[in-house]
Amino acid sequence: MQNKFIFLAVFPLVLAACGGGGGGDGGGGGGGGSTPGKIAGTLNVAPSNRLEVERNDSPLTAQSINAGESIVGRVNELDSGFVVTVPGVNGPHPATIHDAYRITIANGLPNVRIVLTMAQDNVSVNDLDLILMDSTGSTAITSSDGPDQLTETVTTPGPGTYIVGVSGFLGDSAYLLSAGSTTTSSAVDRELTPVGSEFVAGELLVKYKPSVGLHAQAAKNNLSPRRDVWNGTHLMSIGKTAHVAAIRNHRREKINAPGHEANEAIGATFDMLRKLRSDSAVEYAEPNYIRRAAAAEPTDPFYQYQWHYRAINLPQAWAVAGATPGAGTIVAVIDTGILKGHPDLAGQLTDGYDFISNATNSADNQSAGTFGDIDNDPEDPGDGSRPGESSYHGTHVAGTIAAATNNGVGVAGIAWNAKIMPLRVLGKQGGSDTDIIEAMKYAARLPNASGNVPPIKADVINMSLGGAGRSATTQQVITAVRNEGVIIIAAAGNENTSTPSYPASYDSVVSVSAVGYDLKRAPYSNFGSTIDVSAPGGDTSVDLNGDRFADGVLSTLKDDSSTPPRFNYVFYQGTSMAAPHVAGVVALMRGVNAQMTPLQFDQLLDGSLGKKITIDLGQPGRDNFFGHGLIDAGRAVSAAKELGGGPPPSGSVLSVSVATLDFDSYLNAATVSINNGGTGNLTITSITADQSWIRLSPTSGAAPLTLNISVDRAGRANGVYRGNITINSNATTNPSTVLPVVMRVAAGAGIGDVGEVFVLLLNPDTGENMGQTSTTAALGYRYTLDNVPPGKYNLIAGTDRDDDAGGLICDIEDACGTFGELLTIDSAANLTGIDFPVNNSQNPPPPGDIITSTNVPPKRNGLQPKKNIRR
Amino acid sequence: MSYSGCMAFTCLLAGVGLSACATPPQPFEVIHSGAQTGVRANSSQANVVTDKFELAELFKSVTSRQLPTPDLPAVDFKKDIAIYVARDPKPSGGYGLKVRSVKCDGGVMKVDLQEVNPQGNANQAQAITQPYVFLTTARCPKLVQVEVSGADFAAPRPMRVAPK
Repeated sequence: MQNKFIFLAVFPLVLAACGGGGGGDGGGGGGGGSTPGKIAGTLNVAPSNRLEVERNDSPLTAQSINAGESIVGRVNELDSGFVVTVPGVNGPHPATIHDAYRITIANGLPNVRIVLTMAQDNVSVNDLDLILMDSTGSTAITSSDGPDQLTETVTTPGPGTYIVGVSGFLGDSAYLLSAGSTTTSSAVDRELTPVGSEFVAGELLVKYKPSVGLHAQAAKNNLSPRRDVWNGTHLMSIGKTAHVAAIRNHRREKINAPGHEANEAIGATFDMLRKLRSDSAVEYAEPNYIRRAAAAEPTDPFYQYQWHYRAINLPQAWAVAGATPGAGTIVAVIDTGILKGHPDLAGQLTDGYDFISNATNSADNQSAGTFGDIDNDPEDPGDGSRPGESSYHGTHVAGTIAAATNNGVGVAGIAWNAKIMPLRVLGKQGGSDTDIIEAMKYAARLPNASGNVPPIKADVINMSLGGAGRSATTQQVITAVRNEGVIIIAAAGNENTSTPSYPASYDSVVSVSAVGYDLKRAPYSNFGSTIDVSAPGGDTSVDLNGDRFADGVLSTLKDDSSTPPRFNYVFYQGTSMAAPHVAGVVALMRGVNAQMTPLQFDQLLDGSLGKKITIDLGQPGRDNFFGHGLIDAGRAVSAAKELGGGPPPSGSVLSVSVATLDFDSYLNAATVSINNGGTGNLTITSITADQSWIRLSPTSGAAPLTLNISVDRAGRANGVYRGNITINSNATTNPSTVLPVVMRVAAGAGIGDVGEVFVLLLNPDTGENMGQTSTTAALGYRYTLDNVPPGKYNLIAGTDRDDDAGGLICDIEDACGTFGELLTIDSAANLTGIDFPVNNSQNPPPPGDIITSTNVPPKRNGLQPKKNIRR
Repeated sequence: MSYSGCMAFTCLLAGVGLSACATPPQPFEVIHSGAQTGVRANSSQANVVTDKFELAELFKSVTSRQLPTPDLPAVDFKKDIAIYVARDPKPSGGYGLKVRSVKCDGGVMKVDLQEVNPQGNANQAQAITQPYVFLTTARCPKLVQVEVSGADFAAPRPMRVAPK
């Protein structure tokens, strides 16, 4: 077929014809004069937004579509195409595919839900169907042809290559074809339901406005209220419309491919959701989501092998802990030091120290000159005598506690927003009690051999180390450290004995035994009366979970035997691996309840506060193998949160509006708000970037502060670039933070293409179009609105793919975007850089984005048709 | 995999051929080593590898706990052989494995190992370790057997080597 999706020419700005729009009309006036101003910027259209490329009317000429992309096309039932035999209610029959797309799902990647949204509103005269076929286009796998629906959906059944066919059953229509994915960020992020979400097809949760009669409104929409779920929000069933029968009488044959009915039910749910969300009588409507325990798990590639996290219900803990698990907490790892350059640990560290006082044991050729060989560099030079012999044990332990997570690299950590304070005490010959004592004192900000204390004391100390022999001196220091509020966790030891190992067996130390994948005591784990709790330590002699790897604990490490040495990830086993699971959980708990004391943690462990934070294993109640049981991260974080309720932190708090920045391959600039989330004054002392392609302005100042960030791709090879922005302040709480930044450079990535986009200047009070212009991909989606009278405005941009009589942009089939702030135009103002994203959407802009108070009829001015928004 | 078995004995204590112990050592290269082998075994191990297919299979097993998998070291099996030795599992850090020397004694290659153990009552990392070494060295003329000596290799078993 011919692409008929060119519906409007580009005309000059027609502001003068748009009803004057003086300062008052603009919603409150602007500056003192009345000289018109100018607004200019660029619409950021992601490359994942594409247009149909003709001819795509056969399997051989099928246009590719990838997960995360959306394509705008148009089909007429009289267009050319190819015929596929589809199952029908009365047997096989032919269906004509007019537009064909090819999609490939690689092994290991999730299935893709493909959604077809029709632009035409009247399905009695314009109706499109969606059919998923095999790679040759000869066999229909599944289909959707809801005759009363504007939305059709099919889902790929598994890895493989498929032809997605759009069939023009009746009339013609522009359409939007979107391929959702659980792994990519794209236009379909604005889907009616979040990408990857599950919901009950045919059901919605709906709340009508108080003044509206529930049953009358529900009947109008063919909804059946089933029960009041909460305070007027009803669970509704979506009924079949009478319209269906009438339409089906026109059908040559109803398709009946496998899964057809389920696909139609999903499409009907989308349809009704859109209808209700644009209904002024509806306060809100939402899907009846299906929740899974592991819905919010990390995306790190090796997370799938970290069975030990699900074993302690970490996904549930993360759900309770929020977006920044462990934020504001510090975990001191007293161990072999740290590999600061590991990509999953860089940025996760706070200043540490090397307390190995013996030069032979330390072997790092460094000394601060204060006491023996100690120095302020906890880098792990290795505890072996040559490459390939070192354990890099402290790095493994640290990774379990707080490896960078959701960064596309390696593994996940338990409390990935916590900071690791690496304190080196184990060298080539192990570690002495005196060095360990100094490290503990340092972590608790007690006077120590370094002559320094850290700015903030640690919340938790993890000691995955031990040996025989009780020291009265060490016990006294442990008591003092605990009195500072620091919770001390230690490994029970690996000798499969009840002989006490220290420091785990000291009073006031939480002793952790180890379990394997089967949650039985690991064969090496120590036991006895001093065991407090158990956690996964792994058992590398088996692969009980069938993931083809030994059932150890996977974390960060370094292979210095290969040439060149490289950072990697290794499965280790031991109570050393169990202890950091508990330390990480304590960090999560402190993250939601900074006031939780060591005593309270002990009471939570033994249940004396009436809350349970373990899963009982072995003998009922406490036993000598598992202590009080397996640590349950979900219960622990919930319990800590419930224990909270104390006074909020006093003083200033550094608050940043985003946690990460992704410039993809087409975005060039972003702004971040830096605020004081507490009381008093907050000074941003420095803002720095560790990569030259990241540009920052300003680099210091008083909060609130708007940080402008841009990226420079010039001269850079294709690839993914990562960096960090560090923000330091004088805040009492959370004085520093790091924003990971990602940028991609891709050949030909450029910008996407959604067709012609109209940019409308709206009166914020009435929603009236006060001026408009349009732009296209050929113009780089740059736009300029000239002659703008002083005043206040909303700015919205979108396509009008059905070119309907109302001139509506941002309809359900349209690309759409809004500038997030109210614009103030002063006299003769020249606002530039007013950039905002526009993407193919399956959802109208949220009501809060635009004003919907009055209904202004569309106008035609003889030049460019005046566009409007649905109000 | 056609490993030829395992041999362990202590050269001097066993008093096997004083003249052999006096043979000058030959160069060897450690091509891979680590603190924890991926081979699942509860005892010490020693293997002789004489072709690239055996090497690939054994190396895959040895590094099976590492992600991503390291590159397979290059060995010229026309003139060299590879030898893999690993200690039995140890309860903590502080354990190591060193190769003291490799010597040819007629058709027998003798590999002398030194085990490193924790000293005194020092605190140690509480991870299970099982140190291993992969080495390569020139094949002895008319090689028929490899012998490995060291404290962890107390039960002598000759590793027969197939003739070229």
